[in-house]
This record gives sequence, C-alpha cells and structure tokens, in this order.
Amino acid sequence: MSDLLNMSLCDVAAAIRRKRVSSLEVTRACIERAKAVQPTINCFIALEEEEALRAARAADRAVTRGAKLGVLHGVPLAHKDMFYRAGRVCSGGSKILRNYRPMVTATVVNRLAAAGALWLGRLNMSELAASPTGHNPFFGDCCNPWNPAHITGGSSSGAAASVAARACYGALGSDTGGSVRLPAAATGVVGLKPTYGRVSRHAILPRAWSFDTVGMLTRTVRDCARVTAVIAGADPYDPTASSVPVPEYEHELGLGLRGLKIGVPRKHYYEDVTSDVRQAMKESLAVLRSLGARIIELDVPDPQHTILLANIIGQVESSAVCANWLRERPQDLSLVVRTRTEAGLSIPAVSYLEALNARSRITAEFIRSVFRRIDALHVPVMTTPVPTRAETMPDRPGEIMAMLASLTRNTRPFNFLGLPSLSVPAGFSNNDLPIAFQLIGRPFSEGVILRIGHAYQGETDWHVREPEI
Amino acid sequence: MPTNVDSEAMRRLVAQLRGLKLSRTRAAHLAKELARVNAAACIEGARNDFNDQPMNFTVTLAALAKR
Repeated sequence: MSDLLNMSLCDVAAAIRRKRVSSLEVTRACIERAKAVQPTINCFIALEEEEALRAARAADRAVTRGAKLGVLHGVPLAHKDMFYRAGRVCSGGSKILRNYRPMVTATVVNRLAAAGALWLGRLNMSELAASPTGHNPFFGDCCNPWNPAHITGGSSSGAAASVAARACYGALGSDTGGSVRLPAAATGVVGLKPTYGRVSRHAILPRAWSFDTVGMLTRTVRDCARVTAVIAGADPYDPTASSVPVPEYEHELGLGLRGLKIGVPRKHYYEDVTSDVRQAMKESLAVLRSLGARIIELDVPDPQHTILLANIIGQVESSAVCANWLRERPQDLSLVVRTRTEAGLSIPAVSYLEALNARSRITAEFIRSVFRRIDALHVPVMTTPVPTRAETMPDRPGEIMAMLASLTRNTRPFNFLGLPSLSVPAGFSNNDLPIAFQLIGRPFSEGVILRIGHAYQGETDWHVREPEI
Repeated sequence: MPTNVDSEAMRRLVAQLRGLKLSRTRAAHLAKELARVNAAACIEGARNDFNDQPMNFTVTLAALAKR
C-alpha cells in the first residue's frame, strides 16, 4: 500500500498545496486501494474512477497556475450513497432507489466541492439508513476491515470501512440514532454527529427528519474538524440549519485540556459493559486526566424514557418516508426496513407531537443538570465488543427490535437531545476489534469535544493503526 | 391512563388505515410496543405546556449553547 494513503486528510491537502505530491497521484493511489479492498469489505456501491481522475488533473492544473485553493483542494473523499447530486444516481443503499436520480444537489456536497474536495465514489450503507449493523441484502454486506466476519456498524457502513481501509481520506455519513458513531467505533475511525441543525440536511435521503444529522468520518480529529468547518452553517434551503456562527474548529484544537471538566455517568451508560470495554474507557480517562482534564463522576438522567420518546418520533417519521413502499413494493424492502416501518404506522399523531413537544424541555433539563458541572460527557459508544455479521442477522421482527435497541442504547439518547457527539478510537477488545469512547457536549460545542479528542489522539496511537486486508 | 390496543384491533387498524396485512404474532408485538411508547407519550403530554410546539427545538438548542 502506498505511504500516501497513511497520510491524514490535512497532511495530504498540505502536500498537494505545496506540490509535494499531485492530486492525480493521490487519487490513483486511492482508486488502486479501493479496488484492492473492495472484494473483501465491499465498501463501495460505485467507484467513479474516470471522473475522479479528471477532477484530480483539473485540481493539479489549478495548483500549477497558482489559483486560490480551498482547504480540501485535490483530496479524494467518498460518501455514503444518500447525498444527492442533480441528475446522478443516489440509491440510499436500496433496491427501490437503485436508479433514482434526484433533481437537486446537497448543500454539503456543494460546500465540499467549493473547498476543492474530489468525489471518488458512492459508498455502501444500510438500506435506507435503517440499520445500525451495515448489512445490506441488495448491494451486499459491508464488512469490517479488521475482520470481515464482523459488522462495520451502520448505517454509514461504507463510509467507516473505506476510511479505515485507507481507500479515501474522509467520508460523509449521516446519524439518526448512531449511524456515524457506531460504524466509526467499530472500524477504529473518528466520527462526529454534530448538533442537530449544525449542518444542512438539504438534499439528502431522509430517515427521520427530527433526528437526521450529517457527520464526517475521518482518521484524525483534526481532519474531522477541518471538514466540519467546511460543511457547517446556515443554509437557506434547510430551515433547521442554524445561524449560530461556525467557529474555527481547527484553531481551537491546540488549546489543551487544562481546566476542562469531563463527566463520567455513574449509572445507565456503563450497565452491562464488558470488562474489555470498561478497561479501555478507564485507560482513556487516565490519558485525559494526565493531559489536565478533571474527571468528575456524576448522576445523569435515566435515558430509558428518552429512548421511548425517540422511538415514537423515529418510527413515525421513518414510516412516513417508507409507508408507500411498504404497501406497494414490500418484496423490495428488507425485513429490517419492513419491521421498522410497520412499527410507526399505528402510533397516534398526538403521541408523536407530545414526544416532539417534550424534547425542548427534556433537553433543557438534561443540559442544566449535566452540563452545569462539566464541559463534556464521556461514555462508551458500544458497550460490548463488535459482534459478528451472523450474530446480528435476525430473521424475526422481534429479534430485530431487540438488536436495534441493544446496539444503539448509548447513541440514540443524544439524537433525541440533539447534542454533538464525537466517537474516538480507544483501543481493541478481546476479539481484536476496535473500541471507542464518545464525547458529548452542549449544543454547538463541537469545538470543545473536538479539542478533547484531538488532545487524546496526541497521546495515543489507536487512530494510526491500520487493518490488514 | 388509556387502555391498550389488543392485537386484533392492531390488525384491523393497520389493515383499514394502511391496507396492510399483519400476522397475529406481529400484531401482538406491535400492540405491546404501542402500549409502551404511548404510555411514555401520555406522561410527557401531561408535563408539556400548552404553548410548546415542535419547531421550538432548534431555537432551544441555540439558546442552550454556551456563550
């Protein structure tokens, strides 16, 4: 594998800018790597080789003529197959949409292009972003680069796998209940679910509008900070995209941890955590403490009630997206999607609105009680080692709901609360699969959690380890 | 508190409202889940203020950001 591929996104962008390497060389290396790993991990739905190479040549010409260059100039990225480009196929990982050509382009896609990023291809994902495992019966399962028998996590399965496998430098994903953080955790990369409304969702495939967020998967926190700064901010096409100013995340990374308080919940988020995950959490906290952060144990509200309310909202909204297909093309939907769609059909509209109305109050109460004392919360992303694909392939609806609840128990509450959450690699479990912790901050405090994650990566090397494929 | 929807009522509801046929087992499972989430919504409904509205959430987040 080319050494170029082990460079971080920021380093490769600097190398292209300084003419130490061409975008064409970098893009060719990514394409070769993508072709080499695809038979094993199946992370791409479509590799757009010729167009990527054409764009790379254009990027190099811009460098040569001294044009003004964006912060991602010439860097090949690939994205979960749910970000629309006008006139181009966007499948949502589904059979039903496999030839769907939207008429509009996602704001985040336009912003990445304006910053100079290249589009390498469309990445595999759970069908219609509906499952936290990464299984896909229509395009084939995406497999974990650390061990293909295990799940990647989902639904941004290809995004995580391609970044972990060094087939691209970063990938857009989406997170409605854990779909960026779970695959990031399972494959050993960084994943940010931003504050609800921090990043525009215009022209992306919807899953549940009240929870959908667009997030970035990268190998380093600095890379994540850079891309987030590019895609964040108000958007006239998305009324939920906030006008809260976007800070210079990358500049804040070096501020260090002295004076920051990191909270560890006494209950709920550590229940049934396996010993290897618990040990990794303990060690990560020791690193953060050694960097000057104060670690504070505290009581946090029980998430179970929040999860029930999240289920109401998520099930109703995703049913509204898929109900027509359930009636007209049930044979073209997987059991997971059919099961989840059915679940929302009979929930009363009043219950749905009561759950939505409670959200502001519950979030305000959570922030007042938890963030009164701390700057960020630290919890495991997954409470057990990454399971195998076979273990997470249920064949009955009842099993599906139990599996979903188990995998997303530590991620889903923060979608309901709308809070920013960052998944950071923190070691390996007894089955040699990655473990990660999650940092949760106040609304719009992405800068704080990125700063903590960056400081942690400065002291550890989990994020530079590469899977053998 | 409301009484639960039983599995037969669930089957009829989904068939009449959405034109879909559920197995008895599946309908029983959905009825149980509906009872669970509906109870949670009723509890929150009692706590909500009549001035609350869903669109307030993004404003709430912005207001709760640390300045």
